[in-house]
Amino acid sequence: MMTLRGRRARLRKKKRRKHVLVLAGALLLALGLASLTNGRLDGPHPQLPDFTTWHGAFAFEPGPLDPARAVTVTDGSACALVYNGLVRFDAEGLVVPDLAERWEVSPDGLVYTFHLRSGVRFHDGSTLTAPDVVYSFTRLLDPKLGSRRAWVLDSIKGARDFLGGRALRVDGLEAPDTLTVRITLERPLAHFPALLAMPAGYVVSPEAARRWGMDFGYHPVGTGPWKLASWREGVGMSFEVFAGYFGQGPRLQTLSYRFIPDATTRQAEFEAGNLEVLALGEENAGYFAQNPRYAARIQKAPELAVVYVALNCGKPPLDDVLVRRALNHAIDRGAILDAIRPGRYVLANGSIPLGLGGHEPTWDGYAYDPSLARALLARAGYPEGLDLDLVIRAGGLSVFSAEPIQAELARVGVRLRIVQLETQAFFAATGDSGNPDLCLLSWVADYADPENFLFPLFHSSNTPSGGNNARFSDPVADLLMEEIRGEADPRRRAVLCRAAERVVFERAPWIPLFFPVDLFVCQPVVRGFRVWPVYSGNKMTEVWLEDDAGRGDDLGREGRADREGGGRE
Amino acid sequence: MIRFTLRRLLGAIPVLVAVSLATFGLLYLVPGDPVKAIVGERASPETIANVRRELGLDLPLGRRYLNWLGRTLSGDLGRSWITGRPVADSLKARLPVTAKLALTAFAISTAIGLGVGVYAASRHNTAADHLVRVGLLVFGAVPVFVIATGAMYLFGVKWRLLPVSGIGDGSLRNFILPGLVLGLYLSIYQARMTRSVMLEVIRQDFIRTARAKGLEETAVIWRHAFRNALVTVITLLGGSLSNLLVGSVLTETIFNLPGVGRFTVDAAYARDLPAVMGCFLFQSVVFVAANALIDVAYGLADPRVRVG
Repeated sequence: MMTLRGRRARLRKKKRRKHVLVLAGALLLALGLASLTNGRLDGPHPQLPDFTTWHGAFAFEPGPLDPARAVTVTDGSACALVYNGLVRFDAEGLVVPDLAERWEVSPDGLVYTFHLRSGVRFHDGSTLTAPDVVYSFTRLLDPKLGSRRAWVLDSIKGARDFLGGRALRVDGLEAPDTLTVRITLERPLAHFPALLAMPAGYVVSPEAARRWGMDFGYHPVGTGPWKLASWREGVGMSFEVFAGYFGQGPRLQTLSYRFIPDATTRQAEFEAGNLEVLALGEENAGYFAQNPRYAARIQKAPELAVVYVALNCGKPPLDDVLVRRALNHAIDRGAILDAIRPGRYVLANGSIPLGLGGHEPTWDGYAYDPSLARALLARAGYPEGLDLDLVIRAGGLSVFSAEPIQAELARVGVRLRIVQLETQAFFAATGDSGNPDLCLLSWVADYADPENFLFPLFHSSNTPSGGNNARFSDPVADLLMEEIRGEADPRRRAVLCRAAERVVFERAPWIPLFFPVDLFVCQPVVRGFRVWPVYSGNKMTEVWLEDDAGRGDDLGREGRADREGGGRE
Repeated sequence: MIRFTLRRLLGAIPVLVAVSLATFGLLYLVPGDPVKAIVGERASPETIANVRRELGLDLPLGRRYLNWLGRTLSGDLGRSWITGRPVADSLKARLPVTAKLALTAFAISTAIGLGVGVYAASRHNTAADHLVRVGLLVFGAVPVFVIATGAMYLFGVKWRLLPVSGIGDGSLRNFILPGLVLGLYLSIYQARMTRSVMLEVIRQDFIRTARAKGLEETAVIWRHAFRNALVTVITLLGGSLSNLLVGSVLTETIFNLPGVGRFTVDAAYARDLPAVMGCFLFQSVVFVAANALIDVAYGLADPRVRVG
């Protein structure tokens, strides 16, 4: 017995030694693997910096790069690189010439005549002509294509008939000669040029669009400063400089974008030096602002958007303006804003972002006054308070702001039930078929014009899914908004916008919350970067990379000379 | 053996039909209009009707299902309603990513899981056993995104040993981190199962006999106990592998790997019916195939199964 135990103990000791050996081996192997991979990073900055390639990230993979199919901000940003419109948004958000070098409007505001630049080339070498513009616009309106951006051009004369299949061509679209496009509208629309600056108004190569059909967006041919060079589904895409670009060409040679959906992952890639710029959200804005390495490299600009709670004016008890005002008085929006993330949002009293189109609101909003809220509720016949549902979209800001709203309303006797829905279900619930009491929404501008923050959101002709989620209807407000749409004089327009905003918000169809602020942080090598008020204005022609020793830009310039040389041959 | 395998494969057909029917029905029931998801909320009624007709969504549900079945049987999975790409192409692009991640994770989890499980069982009720059990429990209780993000920051950002995320050129080193994270999580479950199965076997008479014969402990554990635990372990491994092969959404998202898992979730959120159906078809085929393989493996590991 004794001997047996002794043998077992010896065996065990031997085995322990063996375990240690195996462990050591594994460690060595791991170290070997690590050293093998060390220094072979794909990132741009480690040993040999590449100053000619921009490394960016898209949070979503864009859809096909086809102006008629571009819907999201990512789609539009990518299309902006490849295509041009007749006009574009500049760094101030104003409409400036692009493919058209100038344009005239008839005195009655119905006929727009655009004069194209001569000698503009598509990526395939063909020359841009006026019929190409007519083709592109007609294509957008083609009922067979089913573009979700067809509304952008549906104010053109005959567009609705063509869209509905009742006409074979769009009457209001003409090309009297190779460099002139004449567009006739159904009725005056002062912000029509702003609509043309949207990605939906970009001009495509008719030859390529016909050849590729459904797949055109994966083989895009435009006139823009960048050509699509590669696209790996789910992984990333890259663009190369188009040597024949008509405008001021890019300072970089290649744009390489990866698709990285997760915000934490994007942040890690940025901190590893693999991305030039990172867009900040509420979750990491504070981290970078407090980090001495990055604090000075943060850029911000107001986003053309508004976050709000729509109150259903078409359904009791919110059809009573007293109840809607009571809810507005009950909520301390300033406190909610401070709790979320100061710096990422600005308090909103109305719907039009401050400064947009020279907007100076005369409407001060509803003051925080819970006792007044209770009194208003009692006067409206709800001394005991009432029950309401608030529909929100899953994730992000919604949850941050919905719970404080619920707590504030509870203090004045309003029992708010939060209904959180996944995106598509949310759209169904807040759209035409749903009928919620309150819903937490945001509106992002399609074009930089105050009209875009009034007419779609509050005109009685607009459906909930078109923007009027509050189902607001007021004859005076309707008249004012129609007036704005026809008014070309900017000064009178500004007066009308102020008046309309006031008329609308005195009827309290919303609880306006915040205007978001866009925040970006840049790597030290990034030069010439700025935040564009309208995202599609950015064609990535002005940014470049250069380190503190001044290396980088020369490289880019040499590269450009090479390319131009190549073009002459 | 061949007849056994064939019978298993034929039995899978009703399963596939049932799964596809259920998926089709569920997508019909969930809220949200797919046409609105495609053409947008501001589209005119004419456009909506047009697109609905073009996609065949105006037909009764039964007809739509039969149409889909017919196309699928002829090898056409249709085009995505959102991207316009053929669904089969998208799946083909994503399959290698998921397969590489799955195999890396599987190799790691099997090596660790079985090793640790057998080790803990052979040292039943010793300090080592307790340490392993508690350690696994603690590790398993930490959410995967914490470990994943931590690993990403340490290895990718701080030490720069491995790529932070993405598949890069598709080489194996891009899959080491995600494979490790995923594999470690899976190994917890495998280690615990292996340990309990082993303990059951070790208590049996033939193990005592083997030890009484004076066999070395290593031989007792691996040749006698482990072989007998193998049938249960194979079920375990087969299940793990098929779970890995249908995609691991969290790991794929955090490490930015464009695999089947993320594709499925994105498609479901967008109500992209052709893509969703393609994904579910692919996943049920993987499941059914994995189960058939497990059955065949049983037969190899345990002769009694073949007879029964």
